[in-house]
Amino acid sequence: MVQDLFQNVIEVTLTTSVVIAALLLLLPLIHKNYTAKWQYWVWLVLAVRLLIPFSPSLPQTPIEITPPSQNIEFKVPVQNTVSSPLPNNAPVPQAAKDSTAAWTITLNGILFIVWVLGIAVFLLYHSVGYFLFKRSVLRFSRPVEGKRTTGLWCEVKEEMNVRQNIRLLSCRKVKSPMMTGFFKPILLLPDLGFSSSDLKIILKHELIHYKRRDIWYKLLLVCANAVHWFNPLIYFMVTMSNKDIEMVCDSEIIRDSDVAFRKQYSDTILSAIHKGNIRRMAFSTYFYGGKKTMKERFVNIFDMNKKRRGMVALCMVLAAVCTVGGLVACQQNGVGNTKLIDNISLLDSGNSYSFDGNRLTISYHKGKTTAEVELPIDISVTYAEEQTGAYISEEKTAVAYGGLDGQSPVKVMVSGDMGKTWNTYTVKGSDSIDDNFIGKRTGFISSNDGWLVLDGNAGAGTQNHYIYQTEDGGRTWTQIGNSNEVYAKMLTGASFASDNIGFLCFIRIDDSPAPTIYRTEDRGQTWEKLEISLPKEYQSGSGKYRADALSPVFNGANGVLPVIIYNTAGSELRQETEGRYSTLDFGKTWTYGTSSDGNATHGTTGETGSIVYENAQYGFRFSLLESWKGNTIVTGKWEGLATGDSQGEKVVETGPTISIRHPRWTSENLRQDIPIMVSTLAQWNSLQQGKFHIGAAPVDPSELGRNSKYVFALPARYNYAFPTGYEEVETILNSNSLQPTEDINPDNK
Amino acid sequence: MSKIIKRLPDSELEIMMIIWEANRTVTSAYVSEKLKDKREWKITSVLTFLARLVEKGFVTSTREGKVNIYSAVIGDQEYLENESKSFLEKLYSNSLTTFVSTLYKSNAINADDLAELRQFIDKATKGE
Repeated sequence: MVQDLFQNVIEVTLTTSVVIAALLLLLPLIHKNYTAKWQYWVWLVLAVRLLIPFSPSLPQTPIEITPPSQNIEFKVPVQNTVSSPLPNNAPVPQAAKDSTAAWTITLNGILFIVWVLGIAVFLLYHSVGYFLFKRSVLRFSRPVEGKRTTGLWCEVKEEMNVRQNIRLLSCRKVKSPMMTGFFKPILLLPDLGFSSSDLKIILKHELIHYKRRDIWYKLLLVCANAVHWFNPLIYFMVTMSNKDIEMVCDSEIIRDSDVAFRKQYSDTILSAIHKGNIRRMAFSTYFYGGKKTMKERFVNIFDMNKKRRGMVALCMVLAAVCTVGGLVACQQNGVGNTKLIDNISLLDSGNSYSFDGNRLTISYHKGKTTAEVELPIDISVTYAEEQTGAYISEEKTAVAYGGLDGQSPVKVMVSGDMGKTWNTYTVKGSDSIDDNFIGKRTGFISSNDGWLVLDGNAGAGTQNHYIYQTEDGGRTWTQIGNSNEVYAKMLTGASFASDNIGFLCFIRIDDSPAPTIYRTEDRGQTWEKLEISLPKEYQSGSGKYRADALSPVFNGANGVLPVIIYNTAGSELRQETEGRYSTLDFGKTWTYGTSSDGNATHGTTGETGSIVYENAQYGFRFSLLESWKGNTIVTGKWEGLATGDSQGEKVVETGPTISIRHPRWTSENLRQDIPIMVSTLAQWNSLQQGKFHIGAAPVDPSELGRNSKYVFALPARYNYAFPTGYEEVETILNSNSLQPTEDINPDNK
Repeated sequence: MSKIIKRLPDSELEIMMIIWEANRTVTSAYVSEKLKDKREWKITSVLTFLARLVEKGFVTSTREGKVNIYSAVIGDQEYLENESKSFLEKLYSNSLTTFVSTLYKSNAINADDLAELRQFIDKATKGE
């Protein structure tokens, strides 16, 4: 993931800033004791470190820095074009599509783009500046011709042992002697008439820059600055390093020389400045800080004190730079933190774990990769399996354990690299809960967002549960709401589909054959029991079958709920089958059955659900979603008005309407009904011929189906007010839910 | 003083630099002689460039016998200070590129600073 790169750069910037800030604080001390060269090397080490976009990872991190969260998601709802409010007679698509899709643009993504653009702008600025400078300067330059200068040049080169061909140019445009060029070095001399001794020193100075490859050093620092363009400390560091480059050069020239030479060298610089100033352009900008820098250089030049080269200190800085990254681990580490984990695919991934004593072996992809880890648990208390809860995916592996004695906290071991390295974190506050955590369940929605459900001591059929969530990959856990006040039985499964939406699946105790599942939409503040019924084939047999839900799994809004269906009849052998329900709406409604690819086939014929409304009076069946269980039927009348009669429209035809009403419909909280208009074949034909019309609508009702006597139709604009649940009704209607039968009650005419 | 002088193309600047360097009046023969090693320009090209410079007012020409004598109207310092800048150059104005090592940071030390630095050096060397 490229975005992880940015994450790592943030981490590098933060950790290196710690070292830079420490160095800046110690600067007076450093100046006193160490040579300029020492700093020169420190900047180099830091620049190299800044350009390496990863940090060494230590298993335990004593210090933690939390960079500002970049996990803000902008959800952009996109209305699906399929859902037109006026279904016509054309065949409707078989499979219903979910009406809203969500584009997720993460702040992280935006920041990444800004960062890359910043680098581009920064590098462009510097390269254009270099190009312009070279162009404008070179056209005023010509090779130095004077015998005296060329002679001196050869002499100095010889003395300095420089063999490479360096162009020595005289330039009217520059005021200070300078050295530039990456591959073809150029030494530019202003034509200021330097004395021979001055010239010699100047040439020497510039050749030292060349020999030290200072231009490459500068390039390296500019690159580090480009990558970290948003960090002001790096600009400071680059400024410091440029000064140190000159200081090092000064030190090289005056090395082992007496005060007289040092004075001569200083005089040369001063006279060059003086001469340059005479040529100073009237309008050229005066840069601030020149005097201060110059003074520091002179102090350095006249400093006869032997200073330490500071190899030990340099090594210490080096070590600090290397380890600070590991010690001060930032929270955002590892794989893409906003990417959802496809937990549905985990159902069939073949990931598993087993215990040998307290030794846990985790197997990924049916054993293609395995990892072993020893858990500090006491297996004499109870089996290891019973003490621990594990979650295994490629992105994240987590094992929760401990907290059995009611005193020690629960701990979570987390690995982001399939068990290669582990970090152990404490679930803070779990030790202050007065309960023993005999069961643990954990899972992750993304690499950062995870949940943990702790089971308390079971007694008299009740059991309390404590729910925690993490937003930082398992480092810190915070307790959220739980269902203990609403329903507190033993769990068979638990899961979260998002930060807010979670499920607790309880062991079936009451008489209902369907699994008992409670769902929250507000981080466990409130819980609502889900209406789920057994699949049709298990509904018969006079309540012989029961089902328990395991933990549902999600990938975004799509989810799969594995259930165990078993027979309860006493004499027969207990037989278990595993079945799966699926959802497209974060587990609000569940449909039995999944397609082969693991995604739900929602709303296709025959699978819409096991709830069917049958009307034997007119002869049709209507398949409903599970959530419509407990629906009511509201009957009414439609009236056909004669067409063409402008005043006092006459009612010429009437017929019944049958509305299927959602169980949660209340007069305060209206929900969309499913209205079915019943007409005789003759009525339908004359309506089609335009002999009468219904209501003010210029649009005719659309046919849903017909039998030998009746036509069943959907009134036009039935959902004009778009009440709650209208999308759901559309989905139901789009899935051929009405099936005409010939089961017509003879009592009816 | 702040009159902006139109930027000369490289070729014309090359000729101007020869005239400035000569620091006296020159003939076209002198210019082409100086150019001999650097550019392979024909004498006609040199004459064209000189004519253009005259037209632009950088140079005046007077006829002395058979030859034209050229002398600079605009001095090199004047040109350097007032040469017009392209948009990009203006953007970068006086900032120095990162990729040079300079003996000192030009335009950063004024006469007062210089005097102060002078004093500092004198003080530092007085004891010896």
